[in-house]
Amino acid sequence: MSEFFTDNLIWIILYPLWVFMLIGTGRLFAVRMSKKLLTLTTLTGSGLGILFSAGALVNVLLSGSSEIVFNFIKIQQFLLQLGVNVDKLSVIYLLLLYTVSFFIQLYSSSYMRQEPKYYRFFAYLNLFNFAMGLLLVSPNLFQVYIGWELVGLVSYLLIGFQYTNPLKSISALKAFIINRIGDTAFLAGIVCLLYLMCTYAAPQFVTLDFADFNLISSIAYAHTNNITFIILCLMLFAGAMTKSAQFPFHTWLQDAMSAHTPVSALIHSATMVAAGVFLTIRLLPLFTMSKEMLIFIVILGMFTALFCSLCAICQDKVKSVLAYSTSANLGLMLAAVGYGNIDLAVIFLIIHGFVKAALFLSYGMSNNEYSEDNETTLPPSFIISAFALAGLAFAGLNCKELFFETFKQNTFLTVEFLLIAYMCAVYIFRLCCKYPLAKGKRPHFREQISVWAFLLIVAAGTFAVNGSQLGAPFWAAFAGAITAVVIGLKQKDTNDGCVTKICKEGFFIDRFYTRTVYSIYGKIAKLLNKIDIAISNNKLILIIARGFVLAAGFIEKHLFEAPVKFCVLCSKFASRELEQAQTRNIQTYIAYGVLIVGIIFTAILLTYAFVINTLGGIG
Amino acid sequence: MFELSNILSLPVLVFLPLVFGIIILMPFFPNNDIIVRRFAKGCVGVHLLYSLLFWVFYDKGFISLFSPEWIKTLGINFGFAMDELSLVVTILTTVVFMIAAISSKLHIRHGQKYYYALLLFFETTILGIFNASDIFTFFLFWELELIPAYFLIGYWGEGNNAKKSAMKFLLYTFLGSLFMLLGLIMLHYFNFLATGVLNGQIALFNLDKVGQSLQVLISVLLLIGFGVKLPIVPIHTWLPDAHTDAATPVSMILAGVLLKTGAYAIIRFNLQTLPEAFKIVAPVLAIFALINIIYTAFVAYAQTDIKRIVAYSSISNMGLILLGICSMNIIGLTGAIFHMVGHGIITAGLFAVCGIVLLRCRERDINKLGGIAADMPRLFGFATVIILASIGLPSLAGFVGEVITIIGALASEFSDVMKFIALFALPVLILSSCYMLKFLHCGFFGKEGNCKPAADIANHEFVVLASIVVILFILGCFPSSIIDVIQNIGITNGAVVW
Repeated sequence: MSEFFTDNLIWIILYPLWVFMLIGTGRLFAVRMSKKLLTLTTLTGSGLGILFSAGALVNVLLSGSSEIVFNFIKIQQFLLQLGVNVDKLSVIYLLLLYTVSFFIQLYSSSYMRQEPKYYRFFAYLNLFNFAMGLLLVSPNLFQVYIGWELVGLVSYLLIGFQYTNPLKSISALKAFIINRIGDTAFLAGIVCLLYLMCTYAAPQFVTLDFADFNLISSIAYAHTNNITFIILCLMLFAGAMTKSAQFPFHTWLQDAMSAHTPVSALIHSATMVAAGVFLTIRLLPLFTMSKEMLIFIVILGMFTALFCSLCAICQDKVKSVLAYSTSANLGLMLAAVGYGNIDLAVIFLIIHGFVKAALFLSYGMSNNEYSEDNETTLPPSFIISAFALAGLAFAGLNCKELFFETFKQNTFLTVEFLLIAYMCAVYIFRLCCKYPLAKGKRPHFREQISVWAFLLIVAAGTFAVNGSQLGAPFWAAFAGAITAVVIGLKQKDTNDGCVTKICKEGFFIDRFYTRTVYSIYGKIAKLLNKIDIAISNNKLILIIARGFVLAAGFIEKHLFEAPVKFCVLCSKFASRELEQAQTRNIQTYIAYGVLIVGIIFTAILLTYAFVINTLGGIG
Repeated sequence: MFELSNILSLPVLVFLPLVFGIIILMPFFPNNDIIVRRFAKGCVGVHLLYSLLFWVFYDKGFISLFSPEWIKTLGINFGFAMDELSLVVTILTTVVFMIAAISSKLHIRHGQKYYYALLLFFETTILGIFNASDIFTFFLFWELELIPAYFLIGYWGEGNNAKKSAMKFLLYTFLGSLFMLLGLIMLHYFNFLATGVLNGQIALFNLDKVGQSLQVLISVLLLIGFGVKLPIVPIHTWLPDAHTDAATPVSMILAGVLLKTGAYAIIRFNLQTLPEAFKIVAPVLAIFALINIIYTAFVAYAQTDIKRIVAYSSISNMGLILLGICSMNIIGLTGAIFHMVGHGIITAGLFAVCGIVLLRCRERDINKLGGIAADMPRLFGFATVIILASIGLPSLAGFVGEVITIIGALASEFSDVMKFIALFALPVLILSSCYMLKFLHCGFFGKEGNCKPAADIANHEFVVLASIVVILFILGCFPSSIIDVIQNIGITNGAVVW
């Protein structure tokens, strides 16, 4: 029975694509478009997704993983495949994706009801579901890249959704380009790995199947020296770093916050950005080969967590704080993966996804971008979710405890982790104190139900995840919360200090990208353009042509002095004739063109034939 | 007895457009512009269908050689032959001409009779290049092609400098073909000395006994001629001018098909006929390809004219094709040919978008455009898809070509230079997204600019853009439709295969 779900999962993944194409092309042919029908079609996809991925999860637990593959590109022995790979990790992640998607689509149907481009928005949501599904079920690295690019595209399209707004379109562009840099590095890694497999391994490894990844890793490790191997790993990891908004690339997530709130909840906090963690888990056999790589992952993750928490404390906008917090928490997940605790990373990924989505949605509930009310307020559900995020209640508490357990052996990491837990509580409760509670607003029913569904899942997670003692992280978070409340009660519009300003600007990394790097790039382009114009303007061809003319003139002057008068006569005659020919009629010009080419061609051929025949006679 | 081989004839395929063109020019043909236009479109359409028959019924050795004797004393025939490579580029040619013919409607305002006749003549010459089996047939069409190209650029051009650009194009190509002619004659002559047979057929050349330095010399001479068409960087300057000043449908043909004749000729002559010499030439050529790819990608970013951006992007992409050819293995070659097709369709689409913007806004300067998306949402949708295809997004045609080409270059075994070049060529994905998205953002996004388009795309423009987008999706999602055909193309003399 449960094989039914696994076998038909492919249709569930393709269904959103069908809906996307229906909306995309349907507007050309459809007689009538109904918002209700559209929403229902979209929700059906996600709902069936929840059902099928749950069924598939049962099947995977009972009878192991399964895989279907198709050939995508086949050139003799070289083979790239697409397919559906159903294993524990992909199914759990699919369950998260469809659950979050379902409720956020429900939420959006109410949140976006005043949007004139409602159809386009829902088309993009469907495309996102498809692309993310494609990424998650990919049996090989190549398909991951395809899904990777497509989710990046949807993210770009949704950030720049209101394209008439110049600021948003620039944000979209920045986010896309930074993602593109990481993607290109990722592609370079894939291509190098493909090359290694093609050169040194048996043909079946060319597909870079995840099932064979242990062997692939050892082959790759055996045929490269240490530095090359680490560079290869870094190139592959760069993709994960950009998508998960880790340290040098974390700026794009700030830009991404100019998208609508449901988009921030779905793509830029819960599902897409966590794809980096997913990829790192998939590539772990490769990274495990080199100890330095694992250490790098842990250090990078912890550093990003610390850095972004610091930045988050100084932010004023709710969405900016949440974005920095997302980067920080993803850093924690990566550190857990690097430390070898994959289960913890996956659990935290799921819990964090729901909590963050709940935070964003409850923020959006009282601060709809389409309402005239500009005052920022926070509903009660935001504060409840804040407790979960800080690790003071629900499953958040359990996760923080598990982290503490994991890092126990390493004092440095333990201290750093406690610091991060402390800061996490500070920034989230600072927001709660800063903005007033929403009163007198009755949010739409569909919005309420989505937020509370997420919170319910998080609460239920408390019982699913082991380890609910009140340990050190709890007290760290508690201290953070108290600090935030105390500061919040004391502070009254004080001027920002120097340090605060630097933190607020994110240590000027974004400014460095937008000003320095951008201007250098523009300058190089302008310089090369100048060179190109110089090449274009040099009269090389004309000089050569002139040289021919001069040579001809020289020859004529000195060698053919005698028949020059005859030439003059001839040319006079010719010019009189040609004057008549210049009728400015294209037809005649073309005829002349054909004639001249024909004559030249025949002359050359005849000369050549003569030469060959003479030589042939000699030979 | 009904036999397909009686219907599928190569001379008919090549000369059918010319016959149609002559009919249009005949005195009895009505002068009514609408009749001329519709008749020409019908002709191109019939020809497209006819060429598709070749695709459907293609079978190795099925399409017989047509080669009557031409110049007996030299062993030269007026011959045509078709293999997989010719087949693919022939279909590309007919498709791009169809698209260009449809989109000519609003761009060509005067001299329609001559315009369409020349367009059909142009098609004949290009098909002649792609299907010639004999070096002198090849050369004849290579030179004949200049005549319609010159007039199409010069007389129906959009800019004030159209005639100058056409002359520049003519001079560059002509000078290149002088070297090429020398190369072809040397090829023929040394083949005669080595084998004792007077032979003009490309497939039968055998220069194994000729000294290596001489082979390299011939290879380089030929490359100068082909390199102007391709174009390779120091001799590329005719391209931006010609593409910018030509009328939009002509630009589509120039970028979509004409540049591919250079790539085709390099595969035919340098790779297949002179493989030994190409092993020496290829690493150097690959460096030129890298310069093509990266340098023009930077230059494209500095442009303000939308057509110039597209023109430079096509030089960059042609560099990628050249890199694929230089890799000298089946993967790189397949990638190059796939990218020839994909890029042909993509640039045609990009020029179509530029042309529509130009018609509506009378403006090509990117800084003065803006906010077109709000007024023309349908054009915006199509333009987004085409631009995404050009920056190599998966599931669209550009991606497959780029990736296979780079993998092929990385896997080439005869030189380590290729591996480095393959890796250094990858940043083009970032650079291309920079300049292409600049085009999209400056032109389409943002608040309203000076441009106030009166209407969204018309029906015939919709047909053009929709067919391009559909082709891009089909090629991107089902690349095996082309790859299965071209993966049997031989690289002679036992080239590297995994």
